[in-house]
Amino acid sequence: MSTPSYEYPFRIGEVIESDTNEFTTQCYELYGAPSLGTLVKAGETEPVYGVVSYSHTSGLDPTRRPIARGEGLASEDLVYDENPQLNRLLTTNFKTTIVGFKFSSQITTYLPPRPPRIHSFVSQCENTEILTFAKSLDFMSSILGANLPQSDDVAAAFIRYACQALPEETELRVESAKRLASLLGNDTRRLEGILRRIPND
Amino acid sequence: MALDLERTAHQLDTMMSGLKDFSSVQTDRLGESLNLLEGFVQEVFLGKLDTSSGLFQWTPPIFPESPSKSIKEPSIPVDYSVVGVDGSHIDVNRHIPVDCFLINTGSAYLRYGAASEAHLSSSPKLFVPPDETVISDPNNPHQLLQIQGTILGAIRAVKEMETLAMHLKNEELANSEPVPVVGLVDGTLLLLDLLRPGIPDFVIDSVLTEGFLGALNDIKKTAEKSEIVVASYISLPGSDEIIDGVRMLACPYTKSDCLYHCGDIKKGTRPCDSASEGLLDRDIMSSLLEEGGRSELFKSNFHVARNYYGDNEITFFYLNTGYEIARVEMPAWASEKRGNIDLVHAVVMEQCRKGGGYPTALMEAHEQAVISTSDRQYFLNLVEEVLERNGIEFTTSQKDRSKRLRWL
Repeated sequence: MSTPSYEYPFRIGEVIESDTNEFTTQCYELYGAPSLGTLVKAGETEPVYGVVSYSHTSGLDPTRRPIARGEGLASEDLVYDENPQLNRLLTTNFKTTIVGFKFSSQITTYLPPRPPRIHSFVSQCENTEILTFAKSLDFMSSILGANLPQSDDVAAAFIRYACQALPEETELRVESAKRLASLLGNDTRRLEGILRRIPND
Repeated sequence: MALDLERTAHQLDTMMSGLKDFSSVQTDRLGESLNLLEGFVQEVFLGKLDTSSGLFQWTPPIFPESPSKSIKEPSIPVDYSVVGVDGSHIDVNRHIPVDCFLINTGSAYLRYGAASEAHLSSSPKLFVPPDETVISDPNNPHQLLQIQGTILGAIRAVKEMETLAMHLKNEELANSEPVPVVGLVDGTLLLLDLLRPGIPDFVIDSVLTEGFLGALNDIKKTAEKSEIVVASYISLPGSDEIIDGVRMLACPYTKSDCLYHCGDIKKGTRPCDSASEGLLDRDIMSSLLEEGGRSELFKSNFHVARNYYGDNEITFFYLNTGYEIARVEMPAWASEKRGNIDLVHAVVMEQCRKGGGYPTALMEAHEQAVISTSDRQYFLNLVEEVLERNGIEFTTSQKDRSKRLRWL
């Protein structure tokens, strides 16, 4: 695997594509994408926040397709040990739905005036930031309405992620379910589907 | 339509019927050459080589004791590194107002074993006029040779070897617990194009002696301190040096004086042709070498090269990689130790397995070095932009303009 940044342990990668609704991050480490639903931020002083909605790993050069290499090797790790160049030639990217931004030290849970710059550093968020978004859930409507095949999974994954990061917030799951119910209105089937993805523990 | 494909296809059909006839003759010739190698006696061969010196018109290498032997694949160390270097260039474009060229050198450092890792890099170098695009005679500054074509190819080989020397030196300095390292370049180490008649001595001195062989000497110095070996890999080699030796074995005369005995005989009907004409070394080796096996070590014997190469005289062996017969060349100082040859053999075989028939380190170095068609166009655009930004009009030839516009 490529060397992670020990100097900046919370830094995951850099923005390589960016628009009003989402940004794409190239990870410093192969397979280093945060889990689906994770809250991340891009930029240093006035960051833009986003929820991880999609990730993929592929060759850096789109004209070179990976081929099967593990026949006769005892484990998957050995494929990488025996072919160390793979860590340099494969890359993991993830997409993030933009959910808010920070301005004058204040976190706002709606779209920023402009998306993050290309090469903005993308980092993990602190618990206080996660709490702000978990309490508000204003962004949930844009995730549910994003017309992504995985929208419901992203919504459920964010709630799971927030509950895990903030175990002291015991009412978070119930409050989130209520908020989802109000957002989805009569669509009880969809609501049930999302709630089934958020276990009690 | 530019190419009349119908007529071309007809010509291809004619070519194929000729090749079929040739193929059956070739099989007979191959059989005879294998018989000759089976009965090879080194003393007899060396004696005949000596007595025919200057009279035999081919250039056989120095044969080993058992030229038809296949040596099994040796075991490979657990921890080792491979450094592959390759290059690509943009030649001088005489249709633009500046005579510059660019060489891009790509490198792949691959370490295997407990601390496996990889580093891939490329380094472009632009050569600009007036000084970098010509080679001048130090004794006569008015005597200049413009670098392009074959000479540029040789300069690229120098850059590749210098890059390999630098990486091997860094590897030697960086590792407190060194592991065996094999440095690989693509193509031959024998720069015979530079030794053709008509190439001035000052060019040979500058490019071959100071440049290419200078870099090989640097590697030799590094190799004195640690287990570093250098080799070059030639895929689908077109060499016929061993075949030249087979010609001598097939020659019925005590002294192989080609002009005296066969000067009037048509090509293809000379006595030696029955075991050699139209054959390449790889044809023989594909019959002799088992999969994974290598031949014994041969030593190239080109008179023109001997004066320049010294310790770096080229030795080579053939290798049946399982995908093809490849040629591996090593400077004589590197192949002096049997252990070094075994290391190169084992590592190149493993690299070919990993690379699906071609050494991974060279494949990745090539990927780093390659300059795509679009990059070539960007380069041209950049040159145009820089010239115009500096108030120099970017002119091109009418021929180039006409090729690009292609109007009706």
